[in-house]
Amino acid sequence: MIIQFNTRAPVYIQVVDYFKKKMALGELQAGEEMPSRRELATELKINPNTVQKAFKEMEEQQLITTERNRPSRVTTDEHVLKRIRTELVDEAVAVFVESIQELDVTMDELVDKIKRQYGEGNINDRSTGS
Amino acid sequence: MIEVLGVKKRYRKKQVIEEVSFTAQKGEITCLIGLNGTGKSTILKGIMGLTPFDQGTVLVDGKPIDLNRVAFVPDHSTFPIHFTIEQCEAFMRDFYPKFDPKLFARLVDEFKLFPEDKLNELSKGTLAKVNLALGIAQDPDYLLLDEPFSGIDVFSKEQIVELFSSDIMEDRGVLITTHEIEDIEYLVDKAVMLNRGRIVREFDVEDVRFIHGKSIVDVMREEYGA
Amino acid sequence: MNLLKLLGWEVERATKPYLILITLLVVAQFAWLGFFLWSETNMYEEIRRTGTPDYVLTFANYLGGTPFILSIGVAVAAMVFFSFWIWYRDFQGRGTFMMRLLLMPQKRMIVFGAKLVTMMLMILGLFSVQWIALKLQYIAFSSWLDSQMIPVGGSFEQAIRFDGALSPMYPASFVNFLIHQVLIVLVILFIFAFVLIERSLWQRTLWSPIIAILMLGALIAVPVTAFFFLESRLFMDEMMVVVGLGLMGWMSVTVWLSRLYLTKKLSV
Repeated sequence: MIIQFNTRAPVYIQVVDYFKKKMALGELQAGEEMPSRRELATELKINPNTVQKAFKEMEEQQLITTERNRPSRVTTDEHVLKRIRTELVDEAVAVFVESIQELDVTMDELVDKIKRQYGEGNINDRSTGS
Repeated sequence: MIEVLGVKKRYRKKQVIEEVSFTAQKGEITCLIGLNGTGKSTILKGIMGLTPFDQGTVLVDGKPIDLNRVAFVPDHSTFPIHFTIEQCEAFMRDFYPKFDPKLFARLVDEFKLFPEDKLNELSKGTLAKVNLALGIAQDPDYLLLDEPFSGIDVFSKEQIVELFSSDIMEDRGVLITTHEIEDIEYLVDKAVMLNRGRIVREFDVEDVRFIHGKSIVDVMREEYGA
Repeated sequence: MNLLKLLGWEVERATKPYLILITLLVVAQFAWLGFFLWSETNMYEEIRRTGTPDYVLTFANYLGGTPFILSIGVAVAAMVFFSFWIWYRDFQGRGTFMMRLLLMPQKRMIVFGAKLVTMMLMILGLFSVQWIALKLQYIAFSSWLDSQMIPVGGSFEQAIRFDGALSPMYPASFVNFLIHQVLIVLVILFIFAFVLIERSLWQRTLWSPIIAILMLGALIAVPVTAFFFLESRLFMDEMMVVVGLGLMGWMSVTVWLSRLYLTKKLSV
């Protein structure tokens, strides 16, 4: 497990984002056990307090649930998992839109390009993929 | 909590430490940052009573320092260089009542050290690991480290960083000095910046990232104008 | 208890240079003895060929030779040097052992005590080795001369009693022995105090040893001056008391000063 951290963003939020992505992609299933805080800190070479903060944040966002003295688990709440996915897509689109707006592209041209490139990407995935 | 209150130190005609006050919490990693020659080591040595301050007080959990509870790891060996690692351990066991041989054995194992090696046969990185192991095995509440990463190889650095995020360091307060913050950017809870013998910034690292979107290096650039 | 343990470490660290010193000393003395006997025998033979020698050789003739006096001088110098070195060694280089000693959660005076006792042990050890070596040298001396039919005069005890360098080392009475030991301890204490003052002046320049010497000089000079001032007005018995008190005063002030600097001011 390797996260390329950005030094200018809070590390705990980057850890949260990393787990959101894994949940959205289904790499972490609903109800699955999370790695221990200690393991995670050692593996990511970050401060254990930061991991603790990330877990607290994920609990507050209801991404994980922790019972006393048990390892944390990914939430089984489908709504939450769906919400994560929407959130991630929205965020990515927002970043994309912001950067493309600077280039003054018409909507038609943009849609056209997206269709072509995104389609190609999918074809490539299929031809090389599993 | 380690409290450094209004300490001062002169060296020849230069006031090396003008007036310095800061705190380091238990269970947190506090980093004392400063360019070379800004008196970081002097502050650590002063806290340990190795070069007494001219003025000011140091309190550990509200009391004068107790060497049973605070350990210091300098950036060089503190044993005669012809000593073996075993001899260093034997000495520590004799005079440091809290020295924990089991913990030391575990660190020797994790760092892949050979107890029969002589100190003068070791690389700088290995020597740093020996120093660190001797410090941690004192099972201190607070650990003070002087430039633990300077001039050592990348793999030793990695091993040391890993140790800081492991259970061995749990609940200990760590005060670390460095001028190469990149090595421990993600380990630090709190940064204390020193410039011209004064504290110029003292901040929670994650807060500064969150509120200002700045890295530690960004803040350093502002302060030191490098 | 911890003092004894630390003493063990100090003694262990001093053993190697100490054994080298002792070996050199004894070997040098026996080499000189060999040369002395060889040349004396030759000379005796020479005289016998032309007439009758009209003198006897004494052990004091051997002890009075420059090489023997020199060997004692070297041993004394080595002990003085070691009194400095036992501290300065621990401040040397990047591996400053003094840091480790000062960081010990122990009373700092055990460092002082261990070094002082180590010095005393070395000096007493040197005296005993020298005594044994002298006995052996005497046996070699007299049995060789006997075998060469050269008459030997004077006893072993006489030779030592009247030797300038040896009589202070092997005094006739136990009280004298104690007085000598006190004087030796005092010299070591002065040296230790000097090192501790010098090492406490953090702003280490050429001035720091000078300042340390001046401080120590004042400490030594004040009672001495006072004593000379008093000397003419005192009777013999009173003088002994004053000198005794003076020595005790010196000792306690020096230890007090060392303790102050070691615990409060020493800088590594």
